[in-house]
Amino acid sequence: MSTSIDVSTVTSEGHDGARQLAAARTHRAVKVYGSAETAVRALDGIDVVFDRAMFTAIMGPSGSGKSTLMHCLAGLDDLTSGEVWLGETQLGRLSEKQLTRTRREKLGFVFQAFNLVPSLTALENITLPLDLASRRPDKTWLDHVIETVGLGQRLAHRPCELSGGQQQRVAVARALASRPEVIFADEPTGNLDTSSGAEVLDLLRLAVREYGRTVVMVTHDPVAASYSERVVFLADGKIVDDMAGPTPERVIDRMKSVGEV
Amino acid sequence: MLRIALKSALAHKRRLITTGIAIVIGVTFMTGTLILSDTLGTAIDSLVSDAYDEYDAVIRSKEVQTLPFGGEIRATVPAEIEAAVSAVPEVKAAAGNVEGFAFVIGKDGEVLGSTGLGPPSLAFNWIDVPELQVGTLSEGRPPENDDEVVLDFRTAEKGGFRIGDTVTIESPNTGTYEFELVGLTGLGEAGDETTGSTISVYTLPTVWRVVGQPNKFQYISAVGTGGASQEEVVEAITPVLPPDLEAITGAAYVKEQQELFGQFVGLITTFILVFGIIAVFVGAFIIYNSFSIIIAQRTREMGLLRAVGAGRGQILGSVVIEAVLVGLAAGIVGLVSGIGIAFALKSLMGSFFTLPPGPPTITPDSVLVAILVGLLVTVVSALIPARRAAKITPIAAITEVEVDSSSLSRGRKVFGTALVVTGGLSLYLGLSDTLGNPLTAVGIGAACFFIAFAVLGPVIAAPMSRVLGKPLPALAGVSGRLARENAARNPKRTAATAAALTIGVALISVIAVMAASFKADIVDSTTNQMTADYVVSSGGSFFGFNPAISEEIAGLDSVGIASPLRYTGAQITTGIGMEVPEGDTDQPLSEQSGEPTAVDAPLEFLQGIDPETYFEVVDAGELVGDPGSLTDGKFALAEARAEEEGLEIGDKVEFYFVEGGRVELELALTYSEPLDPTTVYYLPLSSFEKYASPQFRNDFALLVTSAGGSTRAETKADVEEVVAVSPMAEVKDPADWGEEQAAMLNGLLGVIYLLLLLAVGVALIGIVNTLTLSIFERTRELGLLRAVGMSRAQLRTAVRWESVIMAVIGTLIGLVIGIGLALAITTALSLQDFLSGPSLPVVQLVVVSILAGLAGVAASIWPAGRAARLNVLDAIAME
Ligand SMILES: Nc1ncnc2c1ncn2[C@@H]1O[C@H](COP(=O)(O)OP(=O)(O)O)[C@@H](O)[C@H]1O
Ligand SMILES: [Mg+2]
Repeated sequence: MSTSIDVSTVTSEGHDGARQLAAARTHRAVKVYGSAETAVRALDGIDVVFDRAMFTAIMGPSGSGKSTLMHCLAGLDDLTSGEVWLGETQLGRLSEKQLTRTRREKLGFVFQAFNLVPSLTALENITLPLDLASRRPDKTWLDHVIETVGLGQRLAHRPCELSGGQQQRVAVARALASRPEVIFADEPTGNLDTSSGAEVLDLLRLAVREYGRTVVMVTHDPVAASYSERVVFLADGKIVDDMAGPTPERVIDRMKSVGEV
Repeated sequence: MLRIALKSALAHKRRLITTGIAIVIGVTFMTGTLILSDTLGTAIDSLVSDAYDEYDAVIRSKEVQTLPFGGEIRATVPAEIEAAVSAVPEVKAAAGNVEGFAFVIGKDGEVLGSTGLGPPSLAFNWIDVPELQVGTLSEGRPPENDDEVVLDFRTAEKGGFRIGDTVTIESPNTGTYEFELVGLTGLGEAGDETTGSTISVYTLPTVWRVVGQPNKFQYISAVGTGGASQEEVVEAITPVLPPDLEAITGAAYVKEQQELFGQFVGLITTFILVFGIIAVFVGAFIIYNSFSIIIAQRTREMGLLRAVGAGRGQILGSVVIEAVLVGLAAGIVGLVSGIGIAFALKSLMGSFFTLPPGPPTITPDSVLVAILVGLLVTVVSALIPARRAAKITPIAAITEVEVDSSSLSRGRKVFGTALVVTGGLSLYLGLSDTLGNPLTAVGIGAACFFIAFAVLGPVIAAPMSRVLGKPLPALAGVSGRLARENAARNPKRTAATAAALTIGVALISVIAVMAASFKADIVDSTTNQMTADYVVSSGGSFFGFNPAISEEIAGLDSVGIASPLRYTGAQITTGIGMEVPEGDTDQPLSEQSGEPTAVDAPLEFLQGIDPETYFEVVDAGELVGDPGSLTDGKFALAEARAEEEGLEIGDKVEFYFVEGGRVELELALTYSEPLDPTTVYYLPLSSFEKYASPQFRNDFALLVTSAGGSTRAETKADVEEVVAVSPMAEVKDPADWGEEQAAMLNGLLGVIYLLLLLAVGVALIGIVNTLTLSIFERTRELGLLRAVGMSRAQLRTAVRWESVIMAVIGTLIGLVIGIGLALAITTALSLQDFLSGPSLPVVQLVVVSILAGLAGVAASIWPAGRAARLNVLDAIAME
């Protein structure tokens, strides 16, 4: 049940290869909701490392703490005790303003639903984090992302004019556009049919393989999990297993046994 | 369903509270005014009946003229009648009463009390008959000699006068006097109550001299012998009176005086009440908007209710019940705070005149009005949203519905456009002078435009938001773009929010433009038409100065021309039969019998001029006829008016003066340019002197030119020396005089603006409310924005700009409607020769716009703070 740390050297953007860094990690992360009798230990001392340029899936039964873990990793929520590190920064030490900047510059998000700002067009949604930072988008990169995601025709449309799959692809494009270090995705395919889901998952895998991003994805779906390179299983706020090179069959097997734990 | 409604009301109580505030403010204002009015009414009734309670009969002239703003002018009673009345066996004693105007001058040389709309400064004669004394001496003794005066205690207090001090009194009619203060008086048992008027009391010969109406009384009061009833006393007196006099009972007189005062209080309270009603009206928009938003947000929930079997009526009912709860609560809270305001106002008023101790008078009427207004306005405003709620289909529970997507129908555009066209046509016809009365046409046009604005508001709100928001992305980046899009997103919501502001701004701009036009008119005519070097003026007061001053100035060597102006009113009665004042059956018999006394003709303002000199110092345009022919018994009229009335030189017109009766005067002269467009009848001073009531026989202005050999400075110095004796008169340049005349409007305007700000304030609450509700609705979106890196400051900026867009839309439409309307009205008035034309107070209007924008910023503070404080995680996790 120990966390396997992949020590293969993964560097991004020509960074000095000598330093081996995890993209994100937690140390004895504990999150307690409520107090006294009603207290819920959503995270119960989690130590996990997410390697750079790796696609990791987090699985577990409903209520096991997956979303909580992800929110804490992304600095959307704070821990009751323990540490969360994003690269070399400890999130708990950051001010609200610094956290906002970190989200804007270093993180990308894809949620299950309601990913886009309804009043902005698809393109405006994609460039939103850049605009918020008043950063000029890298035109070639942006075009490349848009082309990859396959939204060329739909850029001027508003979210309500897009299908669910298209909306999620816009969300992925947004997560890619600002070249964040880590992309967090919470059940990004939960609302999609199989083929739309597959397109989104392909994109996330592409983000890792082609562009060297780190992707952490929460999912219920063994097939979705099989797109990843590693699956971390949670139950009752603890890590109960860690699987490398998942296939749908292995994941289903494992889920059954975790369910029994 | 009641349970569901109650539960839902409780669940949304925060939102309903902000919604209700809009109505609470209006209701507070209305009940506050109503309660204050009742309180003042009671106080005045008791003060008045205290003053006159021992009168058994009052003898006075039947000749009376009602003034446009309440109050009346009555002809005087000859002094010898007093003896005749006293001789009646049923009369124990009778006394003539003089009521004139005289100002008490403070130790600083300034008039104590008001020379304008405030409580008057009255001069009375001392009456020896205890029953007939109006006040009670609280200190000192009655005036016994020609150089003695008694003052009311409040004035003495204000002026720092003690018994034995010398008091300066200024009569507008006869000049300046010095008296020794010998006593203090007041109303009530102890003489320590006051209506706020400034009272000075003299011996009879002295007051006649001061007021300048020897041997005349305003009325005669009488007390009967023990056995006789008031009616019997009146019946006994009536036969000894000449036909133009009447006797009424003391009780009737008290009632009449109470009504006269009541009218004045009523005028003020109605005036304030109007603004309370405007505030409630603005509040109605906000209620409508809030309920629309709340229902839009609950579409799914209502769809679910429908899916599980709730009927349309039940959904409608549940919303109405919610509205009833809000309305009742708002009514009750408004009532309570209205009482609070009345308490505060009462203590404020109490420093001006005596109010009975204890709480303000709260009548069941005010309570009922408060609750009913709160309830009805809320429920009626919520009805349209409630009907929309009832139309929600069960499918709404399942499908993702775009919030408030109710479409902007073609019908709306067609209807709105039709209204604009009709309104435009009506204005055009009215202003092109093809219809009879331009004002009616303007009125119809204005009504069309207002409705069109309500109908088209949602249609233009989105494009307006986009246009106004154009510079925002450049100014504020994504925040600006979001603000623009959010304002354009729910056009109905934006329109309704802006509409609340539009009403206030439109009213303010109408008033501002009209006031500016009138002022410009006054200033223009005084600077362009007056050729005098100086004007001696009564300093913007409602009273003139002693004509003796004018005479003295006319006699100065350095003065060439000195031409006085006086003003009074008369009714034009040509061809109109005299009528008895409407037959009030309560009135005693004597009132209804005898000669007819009054007519329904409107009051015309008359300017008294010296025909020899007036046209030399005032350019009255083209004259037809010879000023020299304007002798006693003749009059001059503006050419346009003469044409309208079909009058030609030599025609006779019948005027009715209260004091002078009905007189036929001959049109001797017409001129094309009136100095004051509202006063077009000119009377030579010789006739003015004969017919105008004594209180008008003073000079409002004296137009002065230098004599040939003197410099202007010399003349000014000489004139100033003469004027120095009177605190009522000042020397001005003609231009300054115009400004001063125009400034008389300022006080009233200030009050109107202040009260209209109330409506604007309510509208701002509307913006706060809409933004808060919208932010609640956009929780997830805001959470998302924060998650992808929007900072709190950026979020606040977005909300702020959205607010500013709404405020600016409301203001712009308000300005357009207001200015348009005011231009139409002023143009219509100029067609009727009341005004020379419209004039735009650009600076004021710019200030209004900037303030409105800033108000938008202010309105956004709270909602923006809320949006920024929003917990990102809650927003994301929200299902
Ligand atoms: N805001 C909260 N307040 C209290 N308890 C919470 C809150 N959010 C999550 N929890 C609890 O924490 C545990 C983990 O929740 P979550 O991380 O959402 O699980 P998952 O995403 O794996 O379904 C659950 O027991 C849940 O009830
Ligand atoms: Mg979850």
